[in-house]
Amino acid sequence: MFTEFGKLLRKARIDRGLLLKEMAEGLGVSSAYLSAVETGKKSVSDELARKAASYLGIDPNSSDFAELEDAVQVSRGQVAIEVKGLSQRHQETALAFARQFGEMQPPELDKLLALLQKIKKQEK
Amino acid sequence: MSGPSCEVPPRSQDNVFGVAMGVRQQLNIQYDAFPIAQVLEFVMPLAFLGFGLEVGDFHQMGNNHGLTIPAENIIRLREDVYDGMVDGKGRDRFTAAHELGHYLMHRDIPIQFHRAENGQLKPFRDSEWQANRFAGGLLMPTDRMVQCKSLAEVVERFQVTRDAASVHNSILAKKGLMRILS
Repeated sequence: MFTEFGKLLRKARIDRGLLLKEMAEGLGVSSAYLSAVETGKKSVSDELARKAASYLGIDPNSSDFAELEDAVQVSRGQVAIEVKGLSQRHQETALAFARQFGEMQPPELDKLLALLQKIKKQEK
Repeated sequence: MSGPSCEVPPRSQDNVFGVAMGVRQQLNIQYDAFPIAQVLEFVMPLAFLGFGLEVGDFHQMGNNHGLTIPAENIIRLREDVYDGMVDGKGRDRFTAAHELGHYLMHRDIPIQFHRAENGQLKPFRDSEWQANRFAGGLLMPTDRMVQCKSLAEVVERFQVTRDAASVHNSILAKKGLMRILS
């Protein structure tokens, strides 16, 4: 499972010894708003997610940043794919799918769906 | 901080002060003003798996300054109370300490609603009384409190309100540990 964005954010904040209020002020939001984001009660814009990552000093090229970005996407769409215990190839594919899903066109989706259905038939 | 009381297993004043002093000792806090914000945000999640401090807005919390919700493993403070606590406001620090008292003393006990016809709830069995005494004992530890020469000094050293300072002073004076300050 992907970790939810709010939980990642809270962990990163606490690891750095920042109070909710300090970080909220740094991002220009209220303490209650940041708390609601951390607990998953409010979703977060891409802009705020990037601001938060930069405030926490997370390098945009790091794996932590990619994890945070993935988490933002997942926390919005509520689609979870269990990748724990599966091969790295599985994990890569799941992440690539998660990243590209929105940009896929109906013909591509049809192809992919056909492929998935074919695999399902072979298993029977 | 207010709201209906729950009947909880009895604790004497000294027992509650002991719980509060235990927290100070375990965290090895060697100074006057208890770091309540840091303890709630950084220490509690390490000490109690899954614990979280949350901040709620006015819309969500209404007249509740603070809530302790054992089922969700959280303490939730109203936004103005949380911000005030971080800024060192005495009243808000007391509210936060009061909620910590509920969490530490009452999170595992089955709730008992107290029926009015059974007469008034005895203070020792009153969840709110216990949480208030805990907050007083945590924010104003006896060994440091008895050194104070005036209420103003108590307010300054422990970051509490004058009201809280006065109440705690009276309690320790009744026990013969210090004189009544003004």
